[in-house]
Amino acid sequence: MYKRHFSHIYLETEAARFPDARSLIKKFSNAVVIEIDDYKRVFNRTRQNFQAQKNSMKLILATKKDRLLYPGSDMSPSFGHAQFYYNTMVLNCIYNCDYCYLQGMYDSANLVVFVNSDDFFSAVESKLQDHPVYLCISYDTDLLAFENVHPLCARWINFASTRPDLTVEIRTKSSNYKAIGHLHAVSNVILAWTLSPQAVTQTYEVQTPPLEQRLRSVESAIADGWRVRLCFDPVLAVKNWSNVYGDFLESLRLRVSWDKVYDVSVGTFRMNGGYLSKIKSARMDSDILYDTMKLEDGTASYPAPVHEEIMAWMTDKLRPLVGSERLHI
Amino acid sequence: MIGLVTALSSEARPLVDAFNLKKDQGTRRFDLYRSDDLSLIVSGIGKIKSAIAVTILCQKFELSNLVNVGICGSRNMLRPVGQALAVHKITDATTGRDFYPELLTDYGLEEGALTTFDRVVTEDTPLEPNVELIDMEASGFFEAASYFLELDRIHIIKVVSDHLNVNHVTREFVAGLITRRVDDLRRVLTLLPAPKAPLFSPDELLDINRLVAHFRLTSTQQYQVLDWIRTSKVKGKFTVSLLEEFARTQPMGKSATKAILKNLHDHLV
Repeated sequence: MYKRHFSHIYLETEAARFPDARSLIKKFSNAVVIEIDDYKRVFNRTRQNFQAQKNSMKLILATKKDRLLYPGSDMSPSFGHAQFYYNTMVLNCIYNCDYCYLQGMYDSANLVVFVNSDDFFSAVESKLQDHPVYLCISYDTDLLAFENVHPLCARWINFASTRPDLTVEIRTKSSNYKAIGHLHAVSNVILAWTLSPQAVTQTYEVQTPPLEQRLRSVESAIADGWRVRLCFDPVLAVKNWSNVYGDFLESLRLRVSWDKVYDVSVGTFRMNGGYLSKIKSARMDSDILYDTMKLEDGTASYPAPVHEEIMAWMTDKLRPLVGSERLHI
Repeated sequence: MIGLVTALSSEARPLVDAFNLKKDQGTRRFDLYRSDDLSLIVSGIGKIKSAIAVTILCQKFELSNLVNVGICGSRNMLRPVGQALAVHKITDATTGRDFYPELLTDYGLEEGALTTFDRVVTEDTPLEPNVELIDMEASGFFEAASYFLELDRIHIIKVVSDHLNVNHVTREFVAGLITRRVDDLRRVLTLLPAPKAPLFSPDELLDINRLVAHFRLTSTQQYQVLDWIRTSKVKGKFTVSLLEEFARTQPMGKSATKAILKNLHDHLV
């Protein structure tokens, strides 16, 4: 009996004049539109129930006036790029992974779409005047999963196609490659799929497509000539993890055209310690949040022996498939 | 238990009858009614009284949800008198502050934005263009309720009583409006979020408290042990028999207690 997702659109007064706002409102023509002064007054309210909101996510249309480009986080791999940035044109994700830091970072599960998209492109354009840019556009969200609603990936791909100094990473768990499948592959755009064993996906990556569907998207993208990154991140220390991930990697070994994979990244569960505490205080339905963690420099992660064992094991399995140069750990 | 808050006795009476609520003698300044799973407080008119009533109700009962039920005026003539509405935005006319009740569940009701005024609004009152629905309690109710409950557990259901011509709004008229919407409200109540299931059963809590008392733990140790127990429970490893086993151990001094705690940690986490 939950209302459908995006049954309500909170529309910031300032955002109403942007074409993206108008097209999104048109797309959800049955939605109740509620006028708001400032998106933060809705999004940052205290005492929101993140998990309850996941049952009926609302859309917040807003403008972002500053911080259109963030320096890359220490917790995210830079893949050797010196000038590593990310942006946040959308806050929050349509999926609901148990291990996702967004539920600790934000008070709300509602999706914020910043509709002043030209400003985001201008910010990157400006940075490109100084130096090449490696830009992750799908960190605090999953843009490809949202592409049918709001085609930001296509816009960034077109933007990158004429700017060789820009490298764009689009990270996703979706199987929605078809939404951008009509575009020609662009050599400075990396489509990065996060892959997990189906048992992990089913249990901990709620509402995401099954592994098989993601793999079909991966195969299509590779066949169409895209640079495809495979992200085994986070690897979770689930019960019998080496069996679970062993079977998974064995099935991928036979399935994936490894010579055509652009590169591979591996990481174990890690999260800002404050976010993890906040998530644990709100939910007691996910065992992986209660694994033993160490807290170091504000980051919660598996104790060193667990982390190192997993990383060494994954490296051993993946190095023969992609070699050391294409393996980022 | 679900808490209902009305401003007027005439709003409360049909609900008291419909839900078979009994007068509770526990409060002096506010009329309070209850059954096993519902409580209703009559706040009187105005947002301050509504906020006080919410506070009393929340301090007296462990509430899963709070619902403000009452009449409102509508400036919009297309909203018929008698229409029941779920409120998705409240503006406090005095402070200009906005509040946004969550509407996650489909109650099958129309929705509207409500402005809470400190005085009665009539046809002659100058109003901002965006004012549509009008009451005198919702902002106080909502702000107070949000101190006690998460936002998805706070609900405002209003019935249109007039189009700012309040002469006909008598007690009998108000009671009649609410009576005709009792079935809507009954449906809404069945759709509210269920009470949060506690992690531990009452028996488990007794055993946990017994163990903690048995070892005369410091506050820090208590916190640690409770955290381990919680982790163990979430991971499906926790059993009361494990605690009982430890509770049989006699701690002999600080170092022995520390050793026992380490052992307990290894068993639980």
